[in-house]
Amino acid sequence: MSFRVPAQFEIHPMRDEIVVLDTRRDLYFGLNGSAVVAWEILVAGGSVSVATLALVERFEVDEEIARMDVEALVGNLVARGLLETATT
Amino acid sequence: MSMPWTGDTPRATRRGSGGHVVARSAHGVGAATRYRLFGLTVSSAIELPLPMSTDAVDVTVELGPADPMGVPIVGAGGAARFICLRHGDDVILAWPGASFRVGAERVVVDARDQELASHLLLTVVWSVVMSARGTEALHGSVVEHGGRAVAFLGPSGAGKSTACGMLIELGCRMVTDDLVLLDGAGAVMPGPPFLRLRDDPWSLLPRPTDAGGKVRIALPVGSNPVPLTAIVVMSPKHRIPGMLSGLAALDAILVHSYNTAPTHPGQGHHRLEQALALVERLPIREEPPRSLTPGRAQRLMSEGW
Repeated sequence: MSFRVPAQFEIHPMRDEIVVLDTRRDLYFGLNGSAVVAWEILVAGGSVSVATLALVERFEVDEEIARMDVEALVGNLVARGLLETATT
Repeated sequence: MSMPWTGDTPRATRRGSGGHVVARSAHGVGAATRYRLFGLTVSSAIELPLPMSTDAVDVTVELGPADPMGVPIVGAGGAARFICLRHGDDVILAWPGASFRVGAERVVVDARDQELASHLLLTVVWSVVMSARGTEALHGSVVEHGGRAVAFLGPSGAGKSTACGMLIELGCRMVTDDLVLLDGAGAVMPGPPFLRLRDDPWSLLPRPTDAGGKVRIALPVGSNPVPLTAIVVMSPKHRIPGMLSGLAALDAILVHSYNTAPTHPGQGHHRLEQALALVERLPIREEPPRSLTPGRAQRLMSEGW
């Protein structure tokens, strides 16, 4: 499964953090740390598994914990509308 | 120190038949005078403590009814004890004793008290005028030295104006107090020519206060925008001096937006883009409230903040 960012969001990288602006609702969201690593992979079309492996490599964490973190992040981003499932 | 266009003492007001403020003017009752305010020329039917302008009018301030009717704007006015409503393309702002119908090019003033009307017009009301014009104001005070401006942001009572007063004594010039407005190039637009403090540190005698309960200290301001080169955030959240970056810096700037009510479409977007540009471009320092001493201010200024 891959994901994409709906058109209403603008992405502003800030060094090692990312700001995502919801232009319809005038809200912004901040991502930092491992969330930035996972986000960059997910919005580039990478899967949860690829993002998990990136976290394992980058932060030297257990794969199971990394997967739980990525899945929790995806759930959070989807619930807030920042990510949606890509149909193609 | 006083400039000829400023008025530090309360002025008498007269009421028109409809209960509106009627300006006293050398040109006759109700005559409009052109003033300069944040780079704009304002034709105002109420007397304002601002420098005069002869340029083409950008915004007209008129007397008339501004009845508090319209659709309530969520999130506005709760703590400040005023009403904020949408009425067509305009925003209605209403306090006890003064109401305003606010658009991008026209403000209708409906007030019994000229001092109150003038105070509100130059602060909260003007922030909404600028939002209507696509520019978002920050809450702070700005001084400049050698063509480089530093902005102090923070909540009321954090010591922004006091810090500016201290720096003015050290040779800086005031740019604006309370409302901070930037032009498209990120330079600070000169505001009204006075600093508002709880007390006048330069006066041995008690001074009259304005409608906002502060003493106005008349000070010269330039007529051109001054490039902003640093921001100092003075907030109870920041107990240890240091530098802010990334999301922390972004949050620190956004929380000091002046007009936080959603009065105009795209306002949040403008506010965020402005804050992002500031975070990317400028050093942003955090200082505990009321913590600056003259010695520390001088050292930070010499180091470029």
